Amino acid sequence: MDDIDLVEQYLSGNEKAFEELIMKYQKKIYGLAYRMTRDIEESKDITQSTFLQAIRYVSGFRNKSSFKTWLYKITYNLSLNHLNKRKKHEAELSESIIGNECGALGILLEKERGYEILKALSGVPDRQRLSIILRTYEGLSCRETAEIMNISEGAVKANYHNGLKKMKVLIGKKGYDSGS
Amino acid sequence: MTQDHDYIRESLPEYLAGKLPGRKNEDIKRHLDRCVDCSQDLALMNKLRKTEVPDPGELFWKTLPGKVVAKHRNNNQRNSWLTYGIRPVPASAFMLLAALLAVFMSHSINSRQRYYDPLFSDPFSVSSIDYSTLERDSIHEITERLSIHDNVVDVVEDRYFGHSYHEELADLHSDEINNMLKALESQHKNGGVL
Repeated sequence: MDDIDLVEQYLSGNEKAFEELIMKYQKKIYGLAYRMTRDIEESKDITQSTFLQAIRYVSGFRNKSSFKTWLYKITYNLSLNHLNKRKKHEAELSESIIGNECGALGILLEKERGYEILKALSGVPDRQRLSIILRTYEGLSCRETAEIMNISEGAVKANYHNGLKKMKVLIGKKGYDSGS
Repeated sequence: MTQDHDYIRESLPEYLAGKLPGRKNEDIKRHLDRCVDCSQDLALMNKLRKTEVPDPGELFWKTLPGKVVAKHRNNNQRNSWLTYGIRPVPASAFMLLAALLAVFMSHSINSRQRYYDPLFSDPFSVSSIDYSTLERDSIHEITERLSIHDNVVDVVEDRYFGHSYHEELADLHSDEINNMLKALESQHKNGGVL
């Protein structure tokens, strides 16, 4: 059964149909949220909020885009909200606390976990990061990515290439070889 | 060459995801052999795709669908109250107030009912007094506490099952008082009884 059938079933009163949609996409949504935020708890929150918004507004879902693209769009907006809140919060924290978190031990742990690439990814601006995530991880086309981000395809391409360029610089600075 | 380069660069995600047809794949492979920029981009993308996302745990995946649907159902119920203009907090406060008022009223009525015992058949409270229904014991019970002196009814204040004869007499109509006086006179109840 495809997504549109499940949406229609849900709208005609079958709650299990929406549960099925959640089961189908929850890992993808969580993955997207995690790559955006790099925080497990925040990603869990974003995942739940994405589906709550989806179920709330599903009756207004127009078949103009795929259900997956629509979900990604919600996730993208929620992730941006979380990131903005976090930036505000971090600005309120003292320099010393942030400094300790990003200390030598933190870097070592990141390396050991193999998250250095994710760390470089988190170093690029939000919109550039999302275009990389959607294009690279999710394999979405420029058109789909543009739809999710509500920008032109040209802007997606620019964001994507500038983001990759910046990542390469960040990885280069830390001595990682992006080509290996 | 530049046009090819730009085009191929744009197509690298699809190439990595295996979404391109065979002929285009071959073109890209050939380009990658001689373009360092595109090779680096591809290697970076490949690394990105291989980075793992920490699993929040099986419990999260299992409970999320049910949790979302149930939460939405609850929100809907709350919103349906709101569409009728009923806000949960003021409505609860109003209901609590109404319940308290009901308890207070019932207490007040009960205490009044206790005062006027329904089992007690009051012979003087009817507009036309019919003594035929008056039990001998009841007359005795009432008259025991009454006395007439110079046509003035006096009462020995007592509360019998919560009844005050004082108050009962105060409620009587003048005709009823006269009838009662006649009844008392006929029973030779003149003067103090105690």
